[in-house]
Amino acid sequence: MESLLRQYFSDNNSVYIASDHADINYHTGVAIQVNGDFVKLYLNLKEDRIIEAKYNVSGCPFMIAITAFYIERIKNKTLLEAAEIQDFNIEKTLELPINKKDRLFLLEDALKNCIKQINRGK
Amino acid sequence: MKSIYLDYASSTPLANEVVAEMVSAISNNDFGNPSSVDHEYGKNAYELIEDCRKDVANLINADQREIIWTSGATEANNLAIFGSYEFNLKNKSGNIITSMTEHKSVIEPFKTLEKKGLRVLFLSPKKNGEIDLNELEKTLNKDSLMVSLMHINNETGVLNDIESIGAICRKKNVIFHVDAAQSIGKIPIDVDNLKVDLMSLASHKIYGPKGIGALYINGKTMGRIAPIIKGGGQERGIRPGTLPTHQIIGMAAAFRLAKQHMNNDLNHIRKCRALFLKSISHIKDAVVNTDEVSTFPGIISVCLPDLDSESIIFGMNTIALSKGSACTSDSDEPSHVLKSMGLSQEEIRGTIRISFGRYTTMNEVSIAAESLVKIVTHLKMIRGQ
Repeated sequence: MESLLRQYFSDNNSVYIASDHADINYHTGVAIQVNGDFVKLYLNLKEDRIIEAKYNVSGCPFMIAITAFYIERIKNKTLLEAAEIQDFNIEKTLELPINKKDRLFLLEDALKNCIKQINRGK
Repeated sequence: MKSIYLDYASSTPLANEVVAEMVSAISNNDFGNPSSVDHEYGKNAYELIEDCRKDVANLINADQREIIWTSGATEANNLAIFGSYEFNLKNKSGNIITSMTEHKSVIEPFKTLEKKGLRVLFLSPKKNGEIDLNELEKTLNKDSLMVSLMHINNETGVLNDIESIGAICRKKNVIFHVDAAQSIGKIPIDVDNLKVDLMSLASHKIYGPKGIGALYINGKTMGRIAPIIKGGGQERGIRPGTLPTHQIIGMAAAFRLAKQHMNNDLNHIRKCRALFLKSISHIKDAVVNTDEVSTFPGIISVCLPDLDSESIIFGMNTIALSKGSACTSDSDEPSHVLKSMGLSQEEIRGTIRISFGRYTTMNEVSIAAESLVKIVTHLKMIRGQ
């Protein structure tokens, strides 16, 4: 499974680059861990559907890979569908070790914060 | 494809010459117990081992009678510290001194002796990682019993001024132990000049086998170390157990080679270091954690602030390197060495260790540097930097 982990670790297709994407009005949500790891999500919605998703991330290889994996899968999903993180089978597909499972919580927190921002704007 | 090995501070491959001598020892009739000197098999093994003892002593300008075989430097450190304690320190009240930058095999025995009632004083290193001689002088007092400090630090390559420390300890009549696991065979060592009483030696850091090492005990201190394991009377009663002839032959071969290659090896790793540092110089915020003057050139501890060393190493998958020392890198604990040098948690997290050796090629150094630049660029990009 390392090749899949490596594939998403190395993937940069959906990375948010300020100079390229600043003109798009993204909703953002960030979650930061005490050790400095962070995930920042950028979602562009049409009605309630995610038409574009980007991210910035810093942390261990699993943190990076799960973020890239998740972002790839939430495009064209509704916010409600995206919020069901367990449905994406990340843990099993990327064979997340027990001591790395908290990375999923960080991703979840970033999404929750993004949804809060969206709701505030409504 | 095999990855490029740049983790020589962790361990080294066996030199071909070492393999040849070990294979010959195993294949020939050298299997006798070196303590069974009543027949030719035992006598033969005994003589081989005594020849090896001379080779090991020769590299540090010691007498062969001052070398006691151990299973490695960790055991040698334990024997030096607990052996001194068992012999007479346990009957005294006083202090023993070491540093926060030491290897766990020194720090943990010191902590044990603290629980047994001795006062343990930990020296903090200077910002560059070196032991502060003024602080040592101030710390030493009439109650000081022992000082244990390493020669070259395994995580950072920091080189302590053992000669000056030895002179201070000798003046104050305090036992001085040096963990030389990283320096032996890499830089010249003369135990008389350094005024060292006890010195731990490893084999596998200089192209010899694992599972064998030695403790140098100077003539004056020889009778003052008690065994820490009980058994027969081998090694003058200080370290019981049947000696592993083939391992000892391997260690001695590695020590002879080290003596022969030392200057070339040192020049070679200096070139490796210079090339590596030049090749990564355009990574703006990369910081070498030590200064160039007091660092052994074979080890580079480099910090990439805000990045995660685990991701750097994962990304450099064709290069074998380390995020800290091999002995602690399997735990999530931040490096106690870097911490004591004042690095922040983030700086420690972003630190990797690269170490060069005799078989490192310049091409490998270039590839590794290129690989580091590439992964740092990737990780910064996904961070949004």
